[in-house]
Amino acid sequence: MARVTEHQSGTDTRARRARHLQLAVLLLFVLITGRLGWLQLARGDFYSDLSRENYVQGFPVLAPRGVIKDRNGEVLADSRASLSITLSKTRSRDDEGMADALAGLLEIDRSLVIEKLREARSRYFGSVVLVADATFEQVARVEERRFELPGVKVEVTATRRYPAGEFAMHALGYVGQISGSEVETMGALGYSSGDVVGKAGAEKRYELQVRGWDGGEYWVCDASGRELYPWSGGAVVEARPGNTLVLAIDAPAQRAAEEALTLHGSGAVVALDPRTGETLVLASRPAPDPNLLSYGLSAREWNALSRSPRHPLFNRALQAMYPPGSVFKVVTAAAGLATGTITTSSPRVTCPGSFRLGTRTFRCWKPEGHGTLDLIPAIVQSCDTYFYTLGVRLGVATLMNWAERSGLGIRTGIDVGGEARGNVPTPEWYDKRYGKGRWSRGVVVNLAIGQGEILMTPIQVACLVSAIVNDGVAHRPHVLKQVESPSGRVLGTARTAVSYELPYSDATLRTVREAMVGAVEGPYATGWRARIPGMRVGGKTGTAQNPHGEDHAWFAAFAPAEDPKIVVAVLVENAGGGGAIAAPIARDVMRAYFRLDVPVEAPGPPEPAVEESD
Amino acid sequence: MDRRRLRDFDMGLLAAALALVAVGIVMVYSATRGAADASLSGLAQRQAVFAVLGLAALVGALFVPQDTLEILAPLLYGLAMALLVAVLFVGVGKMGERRWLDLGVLRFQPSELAKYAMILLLARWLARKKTKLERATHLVVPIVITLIPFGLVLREPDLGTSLMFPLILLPMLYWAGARPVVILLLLAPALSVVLAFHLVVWLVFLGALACLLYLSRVLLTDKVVVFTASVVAGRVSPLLWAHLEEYQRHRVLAFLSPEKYRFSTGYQLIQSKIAIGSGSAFGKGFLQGTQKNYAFLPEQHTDFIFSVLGEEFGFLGCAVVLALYLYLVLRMLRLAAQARNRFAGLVIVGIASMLFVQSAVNVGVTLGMSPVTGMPLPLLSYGGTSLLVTLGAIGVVLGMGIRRMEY
Repeated sequence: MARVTEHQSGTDTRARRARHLQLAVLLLFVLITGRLGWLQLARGDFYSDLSRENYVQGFPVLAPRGVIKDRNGEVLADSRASLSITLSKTRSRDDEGMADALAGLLEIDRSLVIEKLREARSRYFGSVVLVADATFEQVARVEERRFELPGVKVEVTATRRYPAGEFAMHALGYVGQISGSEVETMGALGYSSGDVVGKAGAEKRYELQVRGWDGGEYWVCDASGRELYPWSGGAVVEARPGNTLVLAIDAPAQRAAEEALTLHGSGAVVALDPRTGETLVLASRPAPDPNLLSYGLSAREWNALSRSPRHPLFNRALQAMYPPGSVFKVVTAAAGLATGTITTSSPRVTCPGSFRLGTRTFRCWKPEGHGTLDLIPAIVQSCDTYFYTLGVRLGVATLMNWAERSGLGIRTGIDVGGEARGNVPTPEWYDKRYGKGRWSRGVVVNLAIGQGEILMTPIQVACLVSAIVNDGVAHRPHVLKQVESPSGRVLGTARTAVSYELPYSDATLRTVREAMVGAVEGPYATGWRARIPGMRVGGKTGTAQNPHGEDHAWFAAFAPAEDPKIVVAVLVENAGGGGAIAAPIARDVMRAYFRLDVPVEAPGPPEPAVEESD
Repeated sequence: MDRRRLRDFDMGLLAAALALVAVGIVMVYSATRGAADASLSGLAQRQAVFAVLGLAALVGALFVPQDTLEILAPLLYGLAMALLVAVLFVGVGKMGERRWLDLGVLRFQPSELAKYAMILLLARWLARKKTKLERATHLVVPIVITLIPFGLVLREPDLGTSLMFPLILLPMLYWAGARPVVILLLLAPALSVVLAFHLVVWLVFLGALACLLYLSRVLLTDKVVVFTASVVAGRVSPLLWAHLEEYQRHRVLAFLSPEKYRFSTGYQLIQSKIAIGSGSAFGKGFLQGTQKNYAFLPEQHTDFIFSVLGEEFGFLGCAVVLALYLYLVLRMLRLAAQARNRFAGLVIVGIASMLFVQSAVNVGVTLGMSPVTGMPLPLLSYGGTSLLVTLGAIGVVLGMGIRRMEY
């Protein structure tokens, strides 16, 4: 009996304990099943998305940037296929080992690899470029060890190419990797880190036109980042190449200008169509090769370039300010006529070779003097004494007022940036600079012949002459002519807009033009070297005094005189007289523009002419 | 074996175990199919071969008398401990671990044997009539039996497997008659180690423990011993943390914040959760798991086999497998309850606990409920030794089930 009871109680105890343990097991299984239900039933869609994001990766299909052509269809910039070594979002768990392997394989800086690996990881879409424009050796080495390098790929990309090197560089600009600050400002337009954008010139100004629209495609990738096959669930977005920019630049004229400038060292040439403002030539020398700038220079190369004493990055056509020298005499003359201070025939001024104001003597460029002359011969022969006299009669305030009204001291508004304003020194300007009443009224003597504190850029000179030959209307200069679709359909044409209007009567403008034609075509013409057989040319020489060395040579010209189709402003640094150096350059540019053969030897003066050296 | 004994044979238990083995072979096939690593192909066939060998082991184990096991227990335990010591000196393994003995034809993991040896010796000790479990001091011998393999396996180092030893001990103690409060008190120092990472939480815990001790009917000396042990354990907790291997610390940290370690130790947890979660209710279909096919899932044929199941068969498939494990464990506990032989009951409880803890922890890891421990899922994960030994153990349970009416 005792045995039975003992047995019974043992069974009860075991059963109770078994129930307890079973309950504990059941509870834990319920807990696990609950968790399973939460992950699979409640959050199933969320994890399905995560799973898809794991194995489906989007890759951008890069669109080439639009072609840039000159007005005749000559290609100035296009794209070429190049190979890049890229990193896509990788799941390699050994960054250090990867960095070691890649740095050794590609012979690049290890810290750069680490930085790029980090960048790749932070991106959800696409890849980051580790080596742009990779060499054949680099590509071969990566391909050989492809399976050990998850996420590393060789991609064909379009790289900007400027077939003619530095040709028209300051008009075209160049491209480069988008900077951090640019990503911030342009992010809303769909730009992101790693994109290539225009950094200067037309490339920058017309970035949105010329950029391509990247497409995208989705691939199924494994955990190592290897693409297995295209994903069927996602649409492929075709890449759309950028639009074609047709520039107003006339390549033959531009080439003539650049060749001449290169011969003389440094300077600028701007040529405009006065009827529209189309910029036919925008040349500045020296200039860097935009191909090199676009591939990305090293810090050392960039420093060497930006600190070069020849300042190749400096766009002299728009940014360099010089005293205009005798070119300014046309403004002084127009102001004299407009105010009634002079007429074409009076006063007649006698030039003994110098001009005396108070105790100071101002010399004419021709020491023996020009004799007695009125306005037109004074412009033609560029007589300083005549303009000293006129300047004193006008006074600083009046002369500079008319200079301002002639569009000087303001930007022309050309569509490639970085333009300088120039300087028109008014009495207020002198007061500010030297203190009220602490400057001599005699400054006007120098200002009247374009020396001293008055400063102009080559584009301003071209614009001023354009207005003079275009019935007083200056059109805003622009390098863009039209935008075309990649297939050649015209999408838009650059608008002709008025920049400013000269405040002179038709008669005054006619007189100035006549005098300028005389300055090239007439007897005693200072600009005779700009003559073109069979075409009447107008122009004005100038020499800007340079306290640091040789004078800068100026020449502004237009042709044909009866119906000007081109205006050219030439500035050659440290070259001496404008007539001798700058005028032949203007002539060559015009000849190139009109497709006239450039003679090997410049023809001699058919009539008595003079050398200007003011 | 006579007809009556055949009637006592638990067919349901065997069927559940075999179903799990079959699911395992299918999942190993799916997990290793088309793998980039050529060494993985053919693993499903190997698993099937081991399943057949395991079945033989199971049948063999049916015939071993429980008395023999009880007599052999100390010898087996001694042998297992000797092997554990040996593995520390001549063992092999990856990344500086020493877990396996290389026997030429196959590699043998002594810690697998040690679990069973410990169960048998514990059962033998606890089954003794004079064994009392009323005071904390009565637990000294079982604790020592547990701590020796625990310490040796921890040295390998194999934190996951080492934790199995104390987790098997607790239910066996309960089964042997220890009061729940005694077990709870035994747990107190271990809990203290974990909770000491947060000072406030630890102090609250110590307060609660003090209250519990005050209210419980336990000898004053035991109360003092337990409380002191808990305080000391908590104080040395940072030291224990510092003694963990780097990768073990990372596993714990990754468990606490997987996103922060998403490219290192947290990676497995995240990918496993994605695999299981994306399986939704019915799964992506057999062989269709993308997490698995594109190699996002780590260790997919071993420790993370459940994730493959979850991805391809969804909630439905997982629930069926969990139900099979539940059935297996509950069925074993029922056999234990029916066993008149105290030793047999304890052995069954020990084996059931081991199966339960191992499967719960493995599934918990794949679901992100527990830090990664590197523990296979019994019967499902690829692994010859494990399958062989587990099926052998189930044979022991079935054999004891047949003899459950014997004293």
